[in-house]
Amino acid sequence: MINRRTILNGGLAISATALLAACHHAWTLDPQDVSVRGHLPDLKFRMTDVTSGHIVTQANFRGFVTLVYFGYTNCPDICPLTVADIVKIIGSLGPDGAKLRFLFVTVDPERDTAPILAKYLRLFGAPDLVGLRGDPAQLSALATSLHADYAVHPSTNPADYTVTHSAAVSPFDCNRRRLVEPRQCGKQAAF
Amino acid sequence: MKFSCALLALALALIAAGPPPSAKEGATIVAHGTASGALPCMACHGGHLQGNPAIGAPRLAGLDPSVTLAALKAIAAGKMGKNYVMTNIARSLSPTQRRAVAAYLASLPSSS
Repeated sequence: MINRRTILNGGLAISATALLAACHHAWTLDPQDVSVRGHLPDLKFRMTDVTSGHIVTQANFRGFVTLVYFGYTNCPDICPLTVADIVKIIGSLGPDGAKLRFLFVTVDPERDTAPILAKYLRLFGAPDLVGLRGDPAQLSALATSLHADYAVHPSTNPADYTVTHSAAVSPFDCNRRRLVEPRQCGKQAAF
Repeated sequence: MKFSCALLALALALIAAGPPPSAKEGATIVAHGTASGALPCMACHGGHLQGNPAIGAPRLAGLDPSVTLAALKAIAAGKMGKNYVMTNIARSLSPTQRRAVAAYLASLPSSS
């Protein structure tokens, strides 16, 4: 029985409900889960919220279970799938969905301007999706702390403009402590 | 008698064809996807459905309904396109939803 512990599990086979319950110290996880408390950094960043235009930090998300994802709006596969999955999860939580924040951090700020990213996230129909855009140093700092990778190879030919990125979703509890170390998601984020 | 048979045949044909396509429903699907798992078309094909060469997403605005329906059928059958996201979208759209999307796309200008 593992209660009140952050964990390392073999993927994202945890429920969003459990994530929310983490705020109330009442969740139960698989015995094979391993605590990562103290081994992974807490959420820390400074970027621009593309909807409000304001600079935001981890302090703005105190009290929320926060899911952090690195992606870009020209992504042909995993990014729109992940956002759609997250929106489905938020919807399935009913009123508790309001306690969750999904942070979509663009790894391609050159093309993903604030209006473009804000408009992209609005398509998915959930009001509280947060688009974040940082300068190279801000982006690199957050990605490094979350063990996420990305690479952008610009080209004047749009078909040759290559972006690669980690597809994991990193969850943090309402005190911005890391909950689990996810593996790359497959076709479906398995919450 | 012949007249009644013709009416019956027409009624059956209409039932088989389903309700007329609604461009309004199509607009909603295009902008926000469906609960059955279709992503918003605009996420990849652009806010004006102008297409996105960067990811091989073709222009959708202004397509003839027959083109849209044939493409969705071929994509769902795995005979067209190599993007699994688009394959899943085509498979998740019902015949009625496909017609609605086709009707909406046809209502848009074919060139910007």
